[in-house]
Formats: sequence, structure tokens, C-alpha cells
Amino acid sequence: MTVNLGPSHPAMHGTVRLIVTLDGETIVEAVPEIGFLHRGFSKSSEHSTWHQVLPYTDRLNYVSPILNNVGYIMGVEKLLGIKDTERSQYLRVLAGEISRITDHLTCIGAIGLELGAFTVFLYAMEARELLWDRISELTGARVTTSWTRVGGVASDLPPGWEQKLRDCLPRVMELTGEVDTLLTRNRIFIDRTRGIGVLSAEEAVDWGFTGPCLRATGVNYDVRKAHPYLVYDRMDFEVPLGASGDTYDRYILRLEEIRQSHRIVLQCLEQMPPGPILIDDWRYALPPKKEVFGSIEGVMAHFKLITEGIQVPPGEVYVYTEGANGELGFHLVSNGKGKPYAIQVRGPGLPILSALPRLIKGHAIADLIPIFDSINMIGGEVEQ
Amino acid sequence: MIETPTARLAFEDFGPAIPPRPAFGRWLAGTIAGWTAFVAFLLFISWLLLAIAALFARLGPIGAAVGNIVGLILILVMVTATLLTMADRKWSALMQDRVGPNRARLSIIPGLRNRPLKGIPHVLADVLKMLFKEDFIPEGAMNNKVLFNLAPLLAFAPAFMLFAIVPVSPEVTFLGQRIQLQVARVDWGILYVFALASLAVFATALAGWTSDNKLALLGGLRASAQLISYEVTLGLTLVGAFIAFGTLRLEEMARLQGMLGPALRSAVVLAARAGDFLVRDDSVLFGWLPSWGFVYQPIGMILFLVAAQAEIKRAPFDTPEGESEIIGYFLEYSGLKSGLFLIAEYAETVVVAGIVTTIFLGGYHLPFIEPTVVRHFDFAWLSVFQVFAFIVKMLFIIWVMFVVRWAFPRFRYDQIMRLGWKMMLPISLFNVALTAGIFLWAGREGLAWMGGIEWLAIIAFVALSARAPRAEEAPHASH
Amino acid sequence: MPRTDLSPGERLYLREAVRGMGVLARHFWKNLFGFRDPAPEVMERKGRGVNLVSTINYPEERKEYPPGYRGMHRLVPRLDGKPRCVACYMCATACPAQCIYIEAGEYEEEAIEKYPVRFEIDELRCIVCGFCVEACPKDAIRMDTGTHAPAVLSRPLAVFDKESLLRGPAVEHSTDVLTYRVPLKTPPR
Repeated sequence: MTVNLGPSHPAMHGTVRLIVTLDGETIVEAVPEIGFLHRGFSKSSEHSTWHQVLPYTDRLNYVSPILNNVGYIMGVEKLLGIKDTERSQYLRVLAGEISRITDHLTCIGAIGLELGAFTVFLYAMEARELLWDRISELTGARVTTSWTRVGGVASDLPPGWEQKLRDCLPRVMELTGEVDTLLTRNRIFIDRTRGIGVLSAEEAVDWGFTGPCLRATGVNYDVRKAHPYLVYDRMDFEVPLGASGDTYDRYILRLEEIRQSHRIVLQCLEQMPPGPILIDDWRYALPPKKEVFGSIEGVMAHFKLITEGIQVPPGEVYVYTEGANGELGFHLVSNGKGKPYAIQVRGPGLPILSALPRLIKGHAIADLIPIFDSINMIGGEVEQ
Repeated sequence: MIETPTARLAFEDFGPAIPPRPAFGRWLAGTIAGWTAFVAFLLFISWLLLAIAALFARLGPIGAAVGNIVGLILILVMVTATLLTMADRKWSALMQDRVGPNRARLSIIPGLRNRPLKGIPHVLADVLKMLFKEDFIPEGAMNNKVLFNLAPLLAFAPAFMLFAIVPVSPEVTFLGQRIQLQVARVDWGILYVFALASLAVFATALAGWTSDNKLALLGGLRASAQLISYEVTLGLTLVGAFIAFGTLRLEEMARLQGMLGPALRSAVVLAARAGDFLVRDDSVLFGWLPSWGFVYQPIGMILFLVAAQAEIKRAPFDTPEGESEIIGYFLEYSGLKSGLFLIAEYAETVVVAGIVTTIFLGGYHLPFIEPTVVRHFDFAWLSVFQVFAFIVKMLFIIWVMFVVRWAFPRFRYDQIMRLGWKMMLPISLFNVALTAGIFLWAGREGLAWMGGIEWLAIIAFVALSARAPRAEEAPHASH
Repeated sequence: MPRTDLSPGERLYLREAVRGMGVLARHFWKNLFGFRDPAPEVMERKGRGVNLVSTINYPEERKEYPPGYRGMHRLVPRLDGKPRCVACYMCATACPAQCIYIEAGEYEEEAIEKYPVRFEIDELRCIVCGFCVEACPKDAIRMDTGTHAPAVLSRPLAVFDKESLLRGPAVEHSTDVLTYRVPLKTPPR
């Protein structure tokens, strides 16, 4: 029996279609069909200036947009050979880790929702809303942040923001704890997830897994630790590792990463030095408004930056950061003409999604749901 | 970069800001008033049910039966089930930090123009929506149109018929008529429940098969297997209660759990001298404990609740509908037919709660204070309070079932089977054997001791089976 | 990672059942009796008919957008009510969505020579990135209205022209030299 699940199906969040061949309730074969959310990221980028690509990156992984912003901008900075200011590095880490928490909360909530524990989903959403409100105060938008700039970030912490964040983080952790209570030791949940969708470490590496899905199999690879970027080398955090690479490990690993990200956020708040949030180099960063309004040099730099875009020398870089789902890589090619020659994204979701048929083969159709949720496919980054 | 914008358009549309928390006194008064109104409403409903029964009883025995059908099935079950559709949404909203449905308004009635009324108008809106929706029959179902249309009826009718044997009040003289709020008093009592409950299988199987939809077929298959499996456990869990009470008749069971058991038998005599006699009563365990079913049968009660939850296909046993995997056996139904499936589920909830109340929670009996009530009022008033008590207990059980529903993830289909056959069936068999043995050896008193020990064991088991070591002790990657 | 086996109580579903139901019951009674959760968002809530649950009862109570929120655009007026915009096309250039359309015209008598004859923003195309605000060298376009672009019933209605965009408090910078050659006829608003 062949059953068509999606693209409009309650569990197919992110608009994917699965053509599943069943034998009774056992899955014989599953063919994922992606592309329903294809926006043509790479092609669109070729027609924008380096700066104008930024809003597109918001929409890659729309659950943790800041991580994408940071990844892309780091690529441009590497092409230019510049370094952003120290405070902005802390800000990027801070907002990025908040984004990571929201991403993991969404994933855990979705696992709960689609296993029938609707309450878990709403608790996770409540916690996520609190964080997205902070993000929106910081960046000006909840999801489409477009917050980073070449050489820094767009806005500093608003007054009173830090205290607000400190107020709402305990509530977030309390709600996470409640999710933990409702799911982690619940036998129904464990039966549904343990031993389901197992992938060995070797196979995971072969498939190109990264992020929580890879670490769930026990491979210790986290870009933040393996190749520290920004100020992650100054942060004290641990990389939780799973053992068996099943759905339960992927779930509990995300839960633990939320706690670790919480630690990083608190450390960021403490260590963050005062200072400029944007480099003072008018070739790359827009001059401050005072100069634009008041001085001819400012206006000229401003006009050149806006009309011609940032002049990136010819070159080719690959920059990889730890996105919420794994290694988020940007491959940028510049021909020195003011616009990207080519941009390719290594979305962490695609290799993982491509292993989905392997993961769910032989399991019951009901197991498809937790497996599909736990790999946390985000349509935006998979289909770009 | 950009200066933080300071000049902003005012929020003139949104009204003045009011302090977030109402004053404590107002809050307290509002809460007390609300709960008083709720209790008064329930008391009024109790009185109304009895009054309706008494009114119809003037027309003779058939009239009495019709009165019970009207009062219990049409009013109590139907209205409760309808309100439960809203209660489910509102209660779940409260559990999940939400507001719940509050958009529907009764704008036609003056004075209620802009009041959400706790979402109750949504019941009306839902019914209207289902009535006026297109009754769509998929092409594949046209060959089996009769069976396709029969399925929702088969789901709906048994759910309501089930309530026929649940006693809501004792036999009492009310408004000059001798009445009892119970539709049918039959010897086979609870067996009627098992017989009718299994009829629901036909509804799910027919709906799944005639819909001509693969997912619906999967749902129908799951439902059939699940319902048939849990019939067995459902029956066996109650055998212990049969042994304890020595009867199958629900009204008899309810009577036996009262503190006025012997008293009500000769109510007329006792009404005259309802004094110290009432306090000394055989049916009080150890002189103070009401002899309610849950004292005798803790394991039976818990298993019955679980099995019943599975039997009425509610979460965590809702694999037949499993809205995120297969959409469910009623996938192809629309409009009122779909509504019948949904309302049947809520009606079944009410019935299960009624049966649990009757067998395990003392039925309509008030704990401890019944003699006092009789002394100060009369038996008619006592019966009003008893109906009230029944409704409250029923609502409590329904609430517990809803909490269970919202707390847990869904089982997988084969895990449900494993739970039913490998875990619940042996335990309930063991329970039957143990209950029978103890009953033969030490009688009902012995059963009460057994029940007490079992409760303690369960509580100790839950409390002491501590959480295994947690994440902190697990090895982390060290760098 | 923690892969401990289940204890017997958990194995029998009972323990976690009790714990899970405890969590839900706590939320239920807390919300039923209106003890507010201590989330900062909830404590700050304003509006008519404030409810006591963490969720916002949307049309009756609204969350105020934070000060830096990128909302609906506005054209910032000068003190004399005309737009500060000098039709330099910076915003239209910076816009990744190409949602801004400008037609420039010339003033006859003012020091500032150019002004927009037409200035239209298609709010359906707009992706609210805020680049136009950043790009403006005259502080003439801002996104600080504190509202979002309203819902419309047909697409042409989502194109906002100069008149509907020109609103909000006027702004005057000290760097705005030689703004007015002729004396103001109307007093500043």
C-alpha cells in the first residue's frame, strides 16, 4: 500500500512530501520529495549586493535566523579580511545562542506535539515567545532579524534589555524543566523514541550528519569547540554526546544543549565588554548618522556604500559555523564586481533529510513522526 | 548606527492602561461569587432532574421511564457532553497557559454584546457550523452509502444508551412521587455496558472501510483491534468489584456504598426517628470509612480508568485518530456526521465517568454528612444533594481523564496491544484471583484491608521509585 | 548522555503519570484562580480586559512593540509639514525587495532643491529589513510607527503613497542647514 503523506499533512511541518510504501503498518520504502519551499536563494543572491543578501539568510533556517546572519556575515568578513569589534562578537554569540535555544525548543515542542503531547508544545512555545520578544527588542523583528552587519551588528542592547533577559531566562528554564518532566522519563515517550531511527556513528559520518543528530550518535564534533569562532573559545560550556543515535538521544541532546546555551548566554552577559558595535571603517561599514548628516566625507562614503555595495575583492571562501541543526556552511565566491558571483549554502538539514529513508525503513508508520521531528528538518535551509 | 527612535506614534487605539492585577479583595469576591454561582447552578440542575422525573412519574410507570430518559439522557448526558466540547478546550487552555476559545458572541441578546461568556457561545457556533456545512460524501464511498451513513449513528447511539443503567439518585419520594433517577433497573446491570460498548467497534470499522481512504482504513483497523482487546480488560477489572459488592446491578452497588444503606430501605420509618440510629450503620467500614469501591478495589479502579480511556479512544490511546500520523477513521466525514463521531466521544467520557463514580466513588453518596443532612432537611432534599454529589464526582473524573489526555504522548499501536494483553490483562486476572481469595477468607472487611494496603503500596511505589541518575552525571565531552 | 534504565515505577507508567498530571494540574489551578506567572512579559501587559494567563488575549490586549521595532514605514515630516525626503533614491537602491518607487521633483524657491513628487511603498513587497532606514542620509524615512502594515482587502490598497506615509512627529536636526529660505508661513506643529 502506498500512502502519500504531505505536503499538507499535520506532521510534515516545513512542507515536505513523503511517499511511503507500507506493508501493513511497516514502512518498506519512503521517498521524501522536497522543493515545495524552494525560493532560489543562490540565484537571488547573485543579483543583490553583498549587503542585500542578508535578508535572504534570515529565511534559511527561520527558527534561528541570527545564526544564519552570523554565518553569512562571517563569510563576507573573511573575504574582506577584516574582523568585527569585540563587543559585536559577544553580541553575536549572545543572540546566536538565544536563537539556538529557540530552535531547540521548537524542535522539542514539535516532537511533543506530533506524539500527541500538545501541552509540551505549548510550554515550549511559551518559552520561545519570551525569547523571541527579547530578540525583537534587540533586533527589531522576531524572525526576520537581518541584524548583523559587515564588521559588527546593527544595534546595541537596548536600555534595560539585559535585566529583562535575566528576568525571563529563569522562566524559560522552568518551562524547559516542565517539558523535561512531561517527556524525558515518561515510559510512553521512551517507548516511542528509544531504539527508533538508530544510526551508527560511522553511518552518520558517511551521510554527512552534523550537529545534534551527529552528536547523538556519539561523535564529538561541534564547530564551536572543534574550530572555535567568534568568542566561543572564551565560553565555558560542554558538548553533550549521545550514545546510540536514536530519536531519544536526539531529543535529550537538544534538551541538554538548551541548558548549555543558557550557560553561554549568562557568560556572555557577564563578560561583554563595552565598546563600539561596528568597525569604524567606512569602506565596509556605514558611517554613523552624525557624519552622514553633517559631513561631506560621511555622505560620500554613505552614498558609495549604498549605491555600489561593499567592494569585496575576488576570492572564494568557505565559512562554517555551528547552526542549530549542525554545520552551517557558506561558500562565497566573489569576482570583485560588487555582487556575489555565487553563494552556496551547506544547510545542515539536507544530508540529514536525505538519510530519512534509511532511518525510517522497517519502522511502523507511527514511528515516522518522531523520527522526522527529531531530525528537525527546516524547509527553508533544506530547500533554500 | 541608527539612533534609537524616540518619537513614536502613541498607542491611542488600545485604550488606557489598567493595572495588571485586580485588587485582592475584588479578586477574592469575584472568585467566591463565581464558585457560589457554579454550585448553586449545579444544585438547581439536580433539583430540576428530580423534578422532571417526578413530573413524568405522574403519568404512570411508562411516564416515569420516559421522564428518566428525558432527564438523564437528553439533559444530563447530552448537555454535559456538549458542554464538554467546550470544557475540553477551555480546561486544556488553562493547563497550557492559554486563553481558550472566546471569540463567539451572543450579540443578538442585548447586554451580552461584547461578552465572551467563558466561550460557551462557541458550543452554539460549533453546532450551527456542523449543521450547515456541506455533507460531503467522497466518490469512493458512494458504493456503500448506507454503511457510510450508518457508521456515525452506530458510534453515537451506543454512547448515549450506555447511561441507561447508571443510577444518579436513590429511590426517593420527591414532589409526592416515588422515583429513582435511573432509566433501566435490570439484573444484568453492568453486562449491558460491556455489550453495548463493543458495538462501537462496528462504527469505527465501518467508517474506516467505507471511506475508501487508505489512512481511514488504517484507523479503522487500529480501532477495531484496540477496542476488541480492551473489552477483555475492561470486563475483568470490574469482576473484583462484582465480588466485593456481590451484585451486577449498579443501583445495588451504589446503595451498598452509602452510609445510609439500611436506612434508605425503610426510609419512611426512619424519617420519623432519624436520630442516633443513623450514625451506627453496618455499611461504614471500621466505623468511619465510607465503604466506597475504591477502598476495595484500588487496582481495579486504576485499570478500569485506563482501559476505559482506551475503549473510548482518547489520548494517550488515540491511535485510531492519531491526528499527526493517520488522520483517523472519520477522515472522510464532514458536517454533522463528523460531529456525531466527536460528540459520541464526549458522551462516552461522561458515561465512563458515571460508571466509575457509581462503582468506585460511592455513586450519589455524600461522605460522612448524610445523616446530618437527613436530620436537618428531609430525604427529598438529601436526594437533591446526592444528585449534586454525583455530578460533582462525575465532573472530577472527567477532569482527571482530560488531564491525562493532555499530559501524555500517544502510544504506538503495537505498544497499546502489548500494554493491553501483556500487562493489564495479567494484572487484572491477578486482581480477580486475589480479590476472590481474600473475600472467601475474610469477607468484605478483609477486602477493605487489602485495598488499604494496596493503596499504600501504590503510593509508596510511586514516591519511592526515585528518578534514576540524570544528565549531570553522564559523561560529557571534555575539552 | 543519560541512558539509565527506567525504575520500576516509571516502567509501570504510574510515576510519570502522577508527575505529569501534577504539572498540568498546577498550571490549571494557577490559571483558574488567576495567579499570574512571573514572566516579565505578562507582568507588563496593558490593555482592556487583561487576562491572567500567559497568552495574550489578542484584540483586547496587545503587546506594545518595542522601541526599536521595525514596523510600518513613515515619511518623516519637516517642521513645516513637508517630507524631509530629498528624493535621492538611496532607500530605493538599498531595498532588497525593490518595493520603493520614487519620482523626484524640484522646488522652485527652497534651498533644498529636490523633493519626491511620488513616493510609494508597496507594503506587500516589503520584507521589513530596515535597510531603507539605514540608507537614508536625511533621516527622512523611519519604521518607528509602532504598528505593522495593516491588512488590506485588495493589492492596490497595500501601496502606500506619499500622503499616507507622511505622518508622525516632525523631526529637525541641528545639521539641517539652510532648510528654509523663505520664512515659515505656518507655525511649526
